[in-house]
Amino acid sequence: MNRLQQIILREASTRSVSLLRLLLVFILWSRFASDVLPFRSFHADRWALSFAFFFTTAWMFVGYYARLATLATGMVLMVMVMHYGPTTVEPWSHHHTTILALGTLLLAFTPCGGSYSADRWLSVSAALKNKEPIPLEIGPSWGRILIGLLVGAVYFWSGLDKLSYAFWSGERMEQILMYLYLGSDFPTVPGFHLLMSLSAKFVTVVWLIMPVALFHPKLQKVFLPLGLFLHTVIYIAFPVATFTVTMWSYYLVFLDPDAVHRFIDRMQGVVQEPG
Amino acid sequence: MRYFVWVPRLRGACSALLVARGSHCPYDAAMDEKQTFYSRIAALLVIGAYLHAGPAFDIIGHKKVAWGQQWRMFHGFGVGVCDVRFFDYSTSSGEPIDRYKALGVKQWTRASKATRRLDNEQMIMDQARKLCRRNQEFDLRVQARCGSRKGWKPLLSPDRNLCAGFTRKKRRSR
Repeated sequence: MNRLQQIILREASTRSVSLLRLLLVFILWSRFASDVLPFRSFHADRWALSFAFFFTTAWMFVGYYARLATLATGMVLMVMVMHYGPTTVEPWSHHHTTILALGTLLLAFTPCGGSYSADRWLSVSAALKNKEPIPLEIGPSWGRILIGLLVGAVYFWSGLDKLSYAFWSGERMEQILMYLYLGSDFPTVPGFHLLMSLSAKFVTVVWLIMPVALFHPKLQKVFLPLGLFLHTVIYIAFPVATFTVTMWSYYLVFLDPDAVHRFIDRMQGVVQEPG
Repeated sequence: MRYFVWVPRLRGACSALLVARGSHCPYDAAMDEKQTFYSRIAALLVIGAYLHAGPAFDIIGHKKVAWGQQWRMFHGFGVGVCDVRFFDYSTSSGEPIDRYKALGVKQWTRASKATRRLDNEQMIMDQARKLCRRNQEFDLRVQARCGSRKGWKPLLSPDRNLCAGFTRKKRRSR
């Protein structure tokens, strides 16, 4: 079996993707719940959407037939983003909502019900009842790559977009900073333009390296914390809504699932190897 | 005939995704290792191509497609803000004016957003009028450039006195 086959056919701990399932539900509620409350619109389709959103997300959180629940949630979100976004609720078509919808849909390709779910509870209960060994929390891990591709696409194309003169020279950074903080007075601080120019170049280069670096075990050690840091700065400095927490959560798919499993075990004082 | 061979496989894959409880899918057991490998590779290629096709159309082809995404973060953010500098040319050298001080605002942080951030020529001219109203001795000139997606775009140059011909409006007496 070659290296690619090993990666694609690998079975690994289900904890990281199950954690992602729970995290996504919280992010979805904080981003969309207020927008889909029944009083927002008195049209039958919007009431149906409201019901579908709350039902599927709650179902996804409980995790009974978790993959089906995740798929259903993802489909509801895609309807919101692809249909209602361009026609009725413009903010739903923004990149931070689109990435949430696509990520949820792609999570259905992972064994996201293998841990922290009603599915897991039932399988453990059945094993205990039948006096069988407790089933392992493992499943196919290839689906994580799909979410990784999504994150990589976001970094790569936004990095490529920033190779324009306007951003690369720092002028767009100056505009963003002036728009939010400084107003119409260009700072007289010496080196301000140079600082903006260097920041723009740094961010662009990092964004372009990210799609490869996050998949590479050695580069990941540098670029994953760097990504977390940059997203933190963006979260504090700019109004990016749930984008930062979504990206933080998606970073789980780049971590080795068995390492995440061992980390959780260690935190809980359990020393048990998965698989 | 090949179609009929694929029907149970597709049905198996669909039911696996839809009904599988827990972590394992029945189709993993139904397909041999080679089939599993190639079906996953196919899924990765198709979905990967979809994720990249939308932004590729948008950024390289300059064509937005309804079915795709545009991953352009902060693409239009901050566009419109103007960098405005007022000068008083009543002295020969042309002194920069601290507009907040001239408008009687103690600290720039206390100024209203509309005073602090000028987004177009109309807003700049309104503020120029206020400055003239407070000090008619000014030979007020303005230099301004505004933010666009392509960088700073020149808007006004300091070639005319904005306070020339300015008269303070008199209040009507009853």
